Amino acid sequence: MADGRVLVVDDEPDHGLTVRAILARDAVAVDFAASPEDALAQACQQTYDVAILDLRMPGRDGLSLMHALRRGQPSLRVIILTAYPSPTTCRTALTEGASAYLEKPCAPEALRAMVASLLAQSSKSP
Amino acid sequence: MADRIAQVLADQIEAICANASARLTGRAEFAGDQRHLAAALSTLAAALIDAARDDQPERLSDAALALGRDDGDPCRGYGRVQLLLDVLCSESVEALRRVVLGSEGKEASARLRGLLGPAMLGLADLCRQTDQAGPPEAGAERGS
Repeated sequence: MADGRVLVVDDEPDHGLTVRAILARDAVAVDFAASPEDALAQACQQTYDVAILDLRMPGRDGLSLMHALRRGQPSLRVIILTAYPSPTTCRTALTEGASAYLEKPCAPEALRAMVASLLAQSSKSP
Repeated sequence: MADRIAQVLADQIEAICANASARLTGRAEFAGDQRHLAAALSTLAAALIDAARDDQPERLSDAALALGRDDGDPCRGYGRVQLLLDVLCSESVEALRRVVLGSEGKEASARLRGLLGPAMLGLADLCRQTDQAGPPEAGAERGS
């Protein structure tokens, strides 16, 4: 897998830490934030290749956070996760610029596959 | 390695599809559509074997995109095919792990994920492009 750094943001720490553990199997550097505010603070200190954002969070939803993160890191690839999938939210997420939209809990192998592909894309882009 | 992966998957294709079908049968996305589910799984599994044998991720991506295009609503199609790929990925990796062990098994699993990742991202691109060309319904629901 290409090198890179991933930010996982989820207000449910159990789920977020599970995602981090899944990705850690591939020796990817993964940071975890339990709130959008925490995520924005971490993104001020660190550049990320991929962000995995829960869609429904208190205060700021995952799409709003995606736009906020991209203001500082325009090439950031984003995967949106949701426990409440629907064609409408899928359409909104993808047309607003998410690279992928996945249902929670996501299949570990699928998530690893998707993150590997996004990191490979990121490593090839200027 | 490519031939080995393809052979393991081909040898276990019936079990992989049966397990995947059992996991998806209760899903609302496939309710009342079991024949479609079986046919789509079979198509994707065959494409996965071809992709593995020739080390050509495009084989799987093309099959997934064709299934996604068949759906009138690109985002509903995305969700359905995405689910199929998720489960097919899990079952295929499990099948590989039972046969290919140790470091060779890890390499085989990584190669398999390397075939599935582009297909999943390609589906998202298809949904995005089709929707931007003409969304089937107005309005947006956020924050779910």
